[in-house]
Amino acid sequence: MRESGSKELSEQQELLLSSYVDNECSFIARMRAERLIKQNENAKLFVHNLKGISQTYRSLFSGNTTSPDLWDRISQRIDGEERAALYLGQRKPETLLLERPSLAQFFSKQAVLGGLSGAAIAACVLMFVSRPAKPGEILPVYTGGPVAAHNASAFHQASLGSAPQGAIPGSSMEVDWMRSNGSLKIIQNPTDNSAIFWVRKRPGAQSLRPHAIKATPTIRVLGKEGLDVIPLGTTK
Amino acid sequence: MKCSTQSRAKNTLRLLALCTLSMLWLSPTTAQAEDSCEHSKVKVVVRTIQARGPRPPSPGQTPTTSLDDALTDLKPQLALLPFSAFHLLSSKEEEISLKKKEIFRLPNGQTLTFRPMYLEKERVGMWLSWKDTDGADILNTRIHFDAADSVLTGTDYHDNEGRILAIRAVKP
Repeated sequence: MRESGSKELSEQQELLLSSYVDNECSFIARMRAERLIKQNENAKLFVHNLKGISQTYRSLFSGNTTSPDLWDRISQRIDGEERAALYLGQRKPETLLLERPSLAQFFSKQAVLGGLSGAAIAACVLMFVSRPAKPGEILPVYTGGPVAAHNASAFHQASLGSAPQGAIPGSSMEVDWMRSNGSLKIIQNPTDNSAIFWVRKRPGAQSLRPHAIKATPTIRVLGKEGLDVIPLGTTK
Repeated sequence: MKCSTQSRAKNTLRLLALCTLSMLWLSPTTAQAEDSCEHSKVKVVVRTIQARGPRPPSPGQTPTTSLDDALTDLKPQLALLPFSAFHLLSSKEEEISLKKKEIFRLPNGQTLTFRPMYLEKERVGMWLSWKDTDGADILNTRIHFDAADSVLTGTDYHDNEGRILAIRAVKP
């Protein structure tokens, strides 16, 4: 975007002046810029405007509004995520955590994940209803077609960065994503917080793989009265 | 002559000392190598279970469930399913290298593909894909669980039957 009052300046000159204002130009470029500013009023105006913008920007963002504690937490979180990414690949934006202590909480609130997508990737929606799960209650997780379903859940640990991933007590189950050709349900046992993933095949569900069809090979010929079908190996 | 013999003996002693030190130096490294080698593999145990007979609703009574002896450790979980009998069809275990894909052929023609990602502090991360005979995804997931636990997943199979897989991953 060109600054007002600098229409006569070429793009190269503007770039030169811009880097001059930012103290990013070499000695020779600096000399050229200074000479240009001396010779050209528009260049002077351009530099003045740039400096004004720069000062406004600095005054807006000069204050350190973030606490050191927050930066530490962010730094720890980044380290944790990098370690996790090394093993697991990049984390999906939302992950379903089935941690045992929280698994009970998770299932104590009925979780309904509904996600549908006709074309590509379906996002599941998790809803919490404060009703305790009955023993053996079947909780629908995902119902849909043969598409990927990334579980959506409040992954508190990751979102808050309260603890690194490895710090989860060794009694949790975590699902990054899950997809199925049928409807997927979690059957949960509240007593020991174990769970079974049950896939209910959709009636009439068929894979997209082509199937061989047993049929007599035929050849279509154009007869006198139209199309005709002659089984191969026979003479008409 | 005597001096030369003494010097040879000294040299031999020095050599022996050097060898001993080297062995001492190398021994922890070897142990570490063995250790790292051990952690680069994971033993995956897959049990295929046939679930039969719809359990009749019996209000006020604990429903009876019959299951094979080899499945007693899964009783609390299997009891949640609406079947009355559980029979172990097959049990297969294999050592799989981490990050390597391995395909198990299940008795009914289905396949279970694994790719263990890590085994660390009794925690396992694994991608697994359970495919039907026609290649359709029954379940495709990336899951993290305790090595001591079995992950159970199942699907409907024919009339009033179910097929259940109990997957466990432990250190070899």
